[in-house]
Amino acid sequence: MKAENKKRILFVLYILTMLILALIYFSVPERKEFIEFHIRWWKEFWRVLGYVTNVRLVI
Amino acid sequence: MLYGNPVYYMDVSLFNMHLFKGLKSDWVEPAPDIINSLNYLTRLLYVWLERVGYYLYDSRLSGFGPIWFILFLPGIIFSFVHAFIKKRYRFLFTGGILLLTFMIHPRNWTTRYVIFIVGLGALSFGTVIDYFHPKQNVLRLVALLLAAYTLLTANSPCIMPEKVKEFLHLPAGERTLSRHKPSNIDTKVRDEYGYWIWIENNVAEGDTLAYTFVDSGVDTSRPFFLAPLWNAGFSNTVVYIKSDTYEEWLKKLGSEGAGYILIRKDSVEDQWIEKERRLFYSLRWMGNVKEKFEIVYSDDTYRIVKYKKGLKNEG
Repeated sequence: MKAENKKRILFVLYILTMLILALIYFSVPERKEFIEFHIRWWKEFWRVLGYVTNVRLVI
Repeated sequence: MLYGNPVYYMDVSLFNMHLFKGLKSDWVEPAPDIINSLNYLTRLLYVWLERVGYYLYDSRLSGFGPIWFILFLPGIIFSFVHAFIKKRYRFLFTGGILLLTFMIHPRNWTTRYVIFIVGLGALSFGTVIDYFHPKQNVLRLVALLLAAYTLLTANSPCIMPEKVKEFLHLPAGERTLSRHKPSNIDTKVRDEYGYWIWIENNVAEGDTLAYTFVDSGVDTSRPFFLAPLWNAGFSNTVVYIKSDTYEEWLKKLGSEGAGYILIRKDSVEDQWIEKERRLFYSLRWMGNVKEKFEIVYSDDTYRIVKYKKGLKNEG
């Protein structure tokens, strides 16, 4: 059981580390601009896809 | 074998000992100012945090993606400690070599130069998944989510859907870089689009185009890309011809069979050609004087000149 407890604690620590790193990664100032660009890109893609397939796709 | 240097054109030396002779010992592009203002560790963190507005294939400030920063980095630390405790020497040896190579690389903040380190990250993450069995599904789910995020955000402003739509309407021969004008190179090459288009449309199979300027360290003007010096079918020849004297230059043009010459305005070649053309125009009333250079393309920066001695049908 001791080994199991140790593994459990390590797992929780690993997940916590990942969460902290994810918070740091996604909270840099440039992330907003990054995500906004890609939303724009996919909206344009969807519009062009609608044009190419002759189906009006509206988002 | 040709240059005696496996990494030609780079000049390689170690502790002032010349290992391989080349043309450049420094990096082609200087580091961005932000990188120069950070120390060894903080520049890596800056790049790995991907503080950029979009993905670009040759970005110098993009990292390895969120999978690296969130999953693989802690995975590498974990797997090394685990391997050390469990005496897994093969992993330590392999990982050690990769880490050491990464640490001594002079530009390890440029991710594409050290992309092998992601392989170590993947191996390490495998170790983590293995260790935390049977709870690994949580980690797999996180990896999958981050992979999906990476897939959705790997688009670049260089290839926008509207541009693809525009190109769908063009014949294949007109789907060229000069028409595409991708944002990452546009500011650097927009004054070259004109002669690129001219070459595509006018230089025929078998013709030889000579260009006369390269980056010499002092004069950094050069064709930004050499590929557009070929026509659409890549069926012409391209040669670099430069000389200190006009006579020598003419001789080289003749021996290479150059039919077209790409020059920069106000360059020494431009001045030679102008002098020759002025002479031709002043003497052509005599009747038996042939025009050697005919300007077939001209813009603010470049000229293409037809060299009549060099064309195949001129003999």
